[in-house]
Amino acid sequence: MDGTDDPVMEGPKPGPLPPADDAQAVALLQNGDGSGLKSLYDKYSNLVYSVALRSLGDTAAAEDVLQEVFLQLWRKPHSFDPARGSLPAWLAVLTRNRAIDARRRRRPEVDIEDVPLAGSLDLEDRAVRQALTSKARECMAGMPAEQRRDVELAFFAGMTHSEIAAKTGEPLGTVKTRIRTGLITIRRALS
Amino acid sequence: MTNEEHLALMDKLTLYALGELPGPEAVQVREHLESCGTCRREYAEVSEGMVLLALTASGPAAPARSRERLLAAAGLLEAKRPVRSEAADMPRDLEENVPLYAPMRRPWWSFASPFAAALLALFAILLWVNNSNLRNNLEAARGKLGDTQAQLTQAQLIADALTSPLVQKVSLSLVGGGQKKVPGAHTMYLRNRKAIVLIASNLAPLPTGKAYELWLLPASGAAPLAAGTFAPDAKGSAVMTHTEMTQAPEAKGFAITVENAAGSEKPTSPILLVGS
Repeated sequence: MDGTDDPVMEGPKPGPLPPADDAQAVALLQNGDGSGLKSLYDKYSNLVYSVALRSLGDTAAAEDVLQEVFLQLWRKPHSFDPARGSLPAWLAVLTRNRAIDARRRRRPEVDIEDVPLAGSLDLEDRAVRQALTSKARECMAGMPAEQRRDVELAFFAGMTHSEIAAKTGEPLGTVKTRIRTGLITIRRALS
Repeated sequence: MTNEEHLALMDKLTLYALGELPGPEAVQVREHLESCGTCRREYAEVSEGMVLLALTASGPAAPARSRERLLAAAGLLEAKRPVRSEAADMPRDLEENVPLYAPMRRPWWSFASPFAAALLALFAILLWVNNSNLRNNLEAARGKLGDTQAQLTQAQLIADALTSPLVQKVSLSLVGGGQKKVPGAHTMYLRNRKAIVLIASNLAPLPTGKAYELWLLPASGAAPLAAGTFAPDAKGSAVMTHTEMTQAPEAKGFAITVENAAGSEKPTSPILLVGS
C-alpha cells in the first residue's frame, strides 16, 4: 500500500469512536449506520480507487467505480459474506469486476452477492497489506515477461483468454496456462 | 462425476474466478466447488492470487471530493440534503433498480475558471478605457504645458525688454496724424536675442484677411526686414513678441504697415507708424 491506502480524507474528528475493526464496521453498515460506511471508505477507498484506476486508466471513470462499489456496499450491506474472504479482498475483486464492466460499457454481469471469492488472506491490517503488496510486486517483476503480460491483460484489462491469444498470437492453451499458473505463483510466493 | 468431468471443471476455475464464465457454466463450477475439496483449494489459490495482483495497483489516493460525493449519494450528509440523489431518498428495498452511478456534481470551484476569465476580460477592458483616458489627459496636459511655456517665454521676453540695458526702445507714431485717438506703438529690440517686443494702442480695426506688420529698418540702409505680424484687440491694443528673426542687424528704426494676414516679405502699403 505504500502507506497511502489508508485514511487520507480527513484528520481525526471529535465524535463517536470509529469501529474497532472491519467486522464491527460491517455490522454497523448492516444496521444502516453511516459510520460503518465512513469507516470502511476511509480505510479502503484508496485500494478501491487504485484498482479501478489501474484497470481503467482514467481518473473520472475510476472515481465513478469507487462510488459504485461503496454505494453497493451501503445499499446491499449483507452482500459481503465474511465466510468467503476478507472485506478488502472482496472489495478488490469486486472493484476489478466493476471496472471491467465499465471498460466494456456494460451492465454488471455478476451480481455483487455472487462475486466469486474464497480465500484466507487477511488484509485488514495495514502493515500486512503493505508487506503483501511488496512481495506481490516482487513476484510479478520476477515473472517471465509474456506471462506477466497475459496475467495483467486478463486481470486489469479484462481481456478474455481468447482475446489475449488473438492479440499476442499465442495458442489459447498457452495463454490459459500462463494465467492460471501466474495467479497461483503469486499466491504461493507469499506462503 | 468422472475424472474427465472433474478436470474439465477444474480447467474452468480461473475463468470462473475472473468472471468470464457464462451463467450456466458458472453455476456448474459453483456447485462443483461445494463438493470438491481439490478444486476448492485451487480456486482459493487463484482467488488469492487475484487479490494479491490487485494489491500491486495500490498507490494512488482517491480524490478528496469522492468522500463527500459518496456520503451525499448515500444520504449521510444532513447539512447538504439538496444534493442527495433521488436514490438516496428511496426506501432501501426499492433501490436495487436505481442506477448506481451517482450523477457527478460539479464542485463549486469548477465555476471559478470561467468566472475568473470573465472577470479578467472585464478588468482588461476597464484598464484599456482608463489607459485611453489617461492618454487623452496627458495630451491635454502637454498642450497646456506648451501654451504655458510659450506664455512664460513671452512674459520673460517682455520683462527682459523692459529691464534689459541692451534693449533698443523705439516709439512709433502716426504718419500724418489727424485721428482723435492717436495710434502709437513702442518696440523694444533685444538684438542679442534676435527678439522684438511690440506694444501698440489705439490701432484701427483691420479688414478681414489683413494684419499689421512690423518692419525693422536696418541702420545700414538695407531693405526693411519683416519683424512679425499682429492684430489689435477690440480696444485697438496689441502686444507682440517676435523671436523668429534670422538676422539681427543694427536698427535705425521701425515701421508698421498693413499687409495680408500671412505677412509680406517687403512692405506693400504705405507706412502707418514709424519711429527711430
